[in-house]
Amino acid sequence: MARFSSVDNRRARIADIAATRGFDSVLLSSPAGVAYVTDIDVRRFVGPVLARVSADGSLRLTASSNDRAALDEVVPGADVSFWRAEPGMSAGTRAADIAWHSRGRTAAEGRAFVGVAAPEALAAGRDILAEASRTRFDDELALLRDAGRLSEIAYTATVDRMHPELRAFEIARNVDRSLRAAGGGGWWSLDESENGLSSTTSFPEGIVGLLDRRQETGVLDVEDPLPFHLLPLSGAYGVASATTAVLTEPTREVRAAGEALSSALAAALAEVRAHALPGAVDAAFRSKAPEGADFVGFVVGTGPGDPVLAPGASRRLDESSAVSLRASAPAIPGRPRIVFQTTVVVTADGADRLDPVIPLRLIELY
Amino acid sequence: MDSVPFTVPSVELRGGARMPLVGYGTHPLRGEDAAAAVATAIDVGFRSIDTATRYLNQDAVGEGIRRAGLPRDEIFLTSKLPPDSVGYEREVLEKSLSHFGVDQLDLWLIHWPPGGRPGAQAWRAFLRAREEGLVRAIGVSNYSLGLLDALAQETGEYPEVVQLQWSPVHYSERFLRGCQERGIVVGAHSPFRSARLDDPGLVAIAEAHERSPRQVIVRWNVQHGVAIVPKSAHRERMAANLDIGFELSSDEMAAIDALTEVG
Repeated sequence: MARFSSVDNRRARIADIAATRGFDSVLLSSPAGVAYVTDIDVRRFVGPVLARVSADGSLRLTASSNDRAALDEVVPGADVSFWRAEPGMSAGTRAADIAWHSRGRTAAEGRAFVGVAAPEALAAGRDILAEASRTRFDDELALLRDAGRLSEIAYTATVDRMHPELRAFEIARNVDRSLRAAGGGGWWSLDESENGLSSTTSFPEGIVGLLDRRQETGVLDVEDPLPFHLLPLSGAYGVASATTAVLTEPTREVRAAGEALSSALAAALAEVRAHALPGAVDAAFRSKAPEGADFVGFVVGTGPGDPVLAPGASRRLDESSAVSLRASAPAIPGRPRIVFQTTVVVTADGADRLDPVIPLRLIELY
Repeated sequence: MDSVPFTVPSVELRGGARMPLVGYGTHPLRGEDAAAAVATAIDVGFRSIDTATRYLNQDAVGEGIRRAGLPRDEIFLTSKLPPDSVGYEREVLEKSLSHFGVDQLDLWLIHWPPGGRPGAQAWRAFLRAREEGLVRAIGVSNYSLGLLDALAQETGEYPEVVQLQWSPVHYSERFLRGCQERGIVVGAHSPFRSARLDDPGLVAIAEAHERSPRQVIVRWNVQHGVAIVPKSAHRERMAANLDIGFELSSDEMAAIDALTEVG
């Protein structure tokens, strides 16, 4: 896969937005934020990594000394200061302006850490990252398209080999093997978002996750809808896709819910284009959605970003924005929901799906 | 090498269609790459083109066939139904025909057993499509003997072709003979991907015939009556895959059979 070098453009965009808001430095602590300005996927690192972007676009990293060798390998010669974890690091005051996602560490830990590592005044990285991520540079779109290609491979590896006797981890293993052969293998988790995007459980955690499954066994319950999502990464960029299979002929109710949800998502997609109002997209969805349906669209890139198609969202969609649209609805009370999700690039006159192989309808596998 | 003088042998399928034993595999080519490659393959001498709805290249394959300029009935065109399209068979077939710009497929396969099961519902749609003349022959892909039998038991008819990943390491006399007994032609996809091309025995046989291990694998399949669809985007390699006008001895065939890793 080609490597791209326009990370400088992204840092310049971050610095520009910060400048318009009166800040001369931005701290990014989330894996998505650090990846945006470095191209490094820090989720594999032992400790958290902080990235500070200055007004001139220059970058300074702060990382655990345990990650010195790993950082030297991926960004040789980078401006890095290393810290050594101490028990006192967890003391401090919660810093509401610092998004602190990595490996379950708390905002308080982040505050203490920042106090050691970056004493200057810092802008709130999260909001600035969200603004910068509203539109994508060409190199980012190329990575997102490649992630879409990997999502399609993960999808075919899931459905081609799916049968009722499989366990969830066996599906995950099939997908992992296929993606590694295709140059992929990384994944991101919706759980790292603070935007409330994770509306359901998934098992196992990985590129493919079966939704609403019992974690104890990961058994495929053939009487239930079988929703699953796919979260592959290309570089540090990922898309999110989901669809729902049934392993026996669906009941009339399940089929009706699936068809209505499919029509509703298609109606929403038909409304997506540059400058579209979120309310118009949501209204198109609601006009055909079955009872109890949920719909959300959120920015994707180096991680899940802000909901841009959600109740309360009012800003028009941006051209060259990458948005994942997820629709779900109940089919059988108390059982897994039907879920369809696709990731698109917003264009001047429509939505360009990055994962077109994945059907946004019930998949009948029997 | 402009084109290959060797005439590719063919096999008559149970329903009467005649299928070349060496075809051109198009996965994962798309767009102009696929169109140009198909036109080149036909120019080199291929008369069988293998693709699938999943490959997202059917329009490009159709364009490549048109560019080659041969009469439609000189090309054997294969496509496949994705396993996630149970209930949508007719819609998928009509899209395939539209993408190719033809009114009939020569061979239509179920790409994978839907949900690991025989796929009787889809197969009945295949039988109807053949009756209506929308396809000349029908088959399946990635099915075991057990699934083939289950499909026939449920619907009363075996597939004409079963395609699967097949190379010397996958060789199974039981499977091959079982298919022959049921009147099913075996097709080989991904014939080189899993093969051990540097196996000393295979290399020695290739050297003895002044050919490459790839050419030996193509010839080995043809002599077994297995239809093979190697893929290459390069004209020279395409031509090499058709340049199999040599004969493997029974000892050489047995030696290659013995490379199997099937238990």
